[in-house]
Amino acid sequence: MASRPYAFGGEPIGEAPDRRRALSRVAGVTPGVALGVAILLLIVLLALLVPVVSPYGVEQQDFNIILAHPSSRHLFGTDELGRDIFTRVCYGARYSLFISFLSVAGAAIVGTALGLVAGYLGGIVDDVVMRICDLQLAFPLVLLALTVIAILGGSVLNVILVFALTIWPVFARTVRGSTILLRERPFVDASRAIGASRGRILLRHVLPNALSPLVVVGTFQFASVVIYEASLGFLGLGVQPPTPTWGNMMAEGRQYISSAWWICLFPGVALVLTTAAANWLGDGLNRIIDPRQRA
Amino acid sequence: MLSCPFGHGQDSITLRMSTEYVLRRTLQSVVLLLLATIVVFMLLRLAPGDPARLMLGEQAPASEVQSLRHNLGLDRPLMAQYWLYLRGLFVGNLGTSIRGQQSVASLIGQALPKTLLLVGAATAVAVLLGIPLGVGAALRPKGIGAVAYVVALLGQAIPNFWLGLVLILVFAVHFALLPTSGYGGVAHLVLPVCALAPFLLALVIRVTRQSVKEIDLEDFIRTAYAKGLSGWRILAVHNLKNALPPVVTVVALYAAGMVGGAVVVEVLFAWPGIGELAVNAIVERDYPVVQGVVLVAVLLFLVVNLLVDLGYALLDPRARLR
Repeated sequence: MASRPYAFGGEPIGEAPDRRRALSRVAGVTPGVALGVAILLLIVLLALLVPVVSPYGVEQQDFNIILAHPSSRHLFGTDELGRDIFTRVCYGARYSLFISFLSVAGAAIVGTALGLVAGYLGGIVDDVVMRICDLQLAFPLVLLALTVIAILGGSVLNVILVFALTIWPVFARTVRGSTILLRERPFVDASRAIGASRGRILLRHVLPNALSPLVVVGTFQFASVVIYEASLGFLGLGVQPPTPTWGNMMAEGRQYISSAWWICLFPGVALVLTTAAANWLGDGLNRIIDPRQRA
Repeated sequence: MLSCPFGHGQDSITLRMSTEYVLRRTLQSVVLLLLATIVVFMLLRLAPGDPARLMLGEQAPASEVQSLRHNLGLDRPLMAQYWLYLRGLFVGNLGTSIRGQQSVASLIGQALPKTLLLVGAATAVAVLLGIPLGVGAALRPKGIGAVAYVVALLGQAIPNFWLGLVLILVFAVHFALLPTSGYGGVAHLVLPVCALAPFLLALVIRVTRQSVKEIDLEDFIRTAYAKGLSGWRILAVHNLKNALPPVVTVVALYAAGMVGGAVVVEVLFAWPGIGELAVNAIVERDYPVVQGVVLVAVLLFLVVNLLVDLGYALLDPRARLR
């Protein structure tokens, strides 16, 4: 552990040290973080504003220009039904980002709740929760998701549920680790001593201090879920066409790969940009909360 | 754990702790595996429809379905069915494929070596390239470190199946240098490995870099420099010896995960491994095969996990106390 000079009593007391730390956090923003945020914002904006930006509809077909090369009229070209790929990639962003974000949010909520309880109570509760985590993490994620989706059907809600239920252990482990360290800290002892309830201690004192690693883990998990969701779509088992997702667009384009490479390529570029941006953001945030990582 | 560390020889304490640790850790894995069998068993029960009906098809007479249900034990209570399933597992009976009437064990037996070959080759590539790049990134951040940084960034962000598609596009379709898909000689292995390796490569670079950098700051490294040892000798004898165990852990766990995780790449390249087997089975609703593949993947992961933990305990006594 990095040793930080502590104020008297082992704890930074009062506002001043926190404010100074907040300043250094702002100063820790690296080019990677800035670029990551910029790319993610751009993709979100395009996803939201696509009806304004693009003259084409998501399902609008034009049989006069099927499989057209990328050009000024069709930035990313058209597919086998003459649909504009750029427009569909932007609409696909809505589904891919929405599904991934909600999956991660759901997993974060479940994982945080269980991690807090397990870490704070310890003992048998901790053992049970952690063994469930171990069990969950031993399963091959993509295969499990594929199987469950194949059984339940590939609706947006099902995909979100499956991912939320497969990645929550990552959050539970992270929060549990922070909680175990925090529960021994003097300020938690102090609130226990003045008679705060367990719920209050966990929510007001432990959780806020356990949030930063959680945000980092969430960012990386978001990048992974974007890829998993696309894999599902690519195998034809995710959200079903004609609803455009990056994965199912790539699956549709795969059969035309030798004649019309742009159908597969551009949804993939959007995917790569999103995961790269989320990874850079995660790296940057990680460096900010853990100074040891700074190069 | 140690009530009285005195009065015993050092060796006997270590030995006693190891045996207890090994037993405890092994037992944990066995319990997890048992729980996994329950989950996998229930997975099939989640599926709508009657497995016997699925096996015989829509036209089969009800009496035939009834007798097959009886033969498969499907008319028994759930607990009894689970017991039957578990007993089968002990003798290596993973059930029978609904479609091909082949035993699941033999299907997996044919597919697993091919997956292991693919995963093994990708792991070898990632390790052989990743460790030098990671060391370079740790000790020479300007030169080779910059290259390693870019490789790590790209490897982490690019999804393997998209990379696979681009590779097919460039090397198989455009230049026609390599086969697009299928199982065969070394040429068939090149593209899937190139698609699969970069993510692990990125991981190896990051972990190696972090680990080597941390060890490089230790006092004993400074001492070694002060003694006048050569840089290479310090790296090999003093640094890497301490820095590599975390790398081995990450590689082992990730490679074990890849056995069940290379699904998309296997499908893309029509590589006849267990991932492709499972996806085809999922599409055809051949759930016994899916169950078998998932269980084998879990088993492999748990075994590797156990071996890694035990290996750690062997090398580093502190790990036994966790």
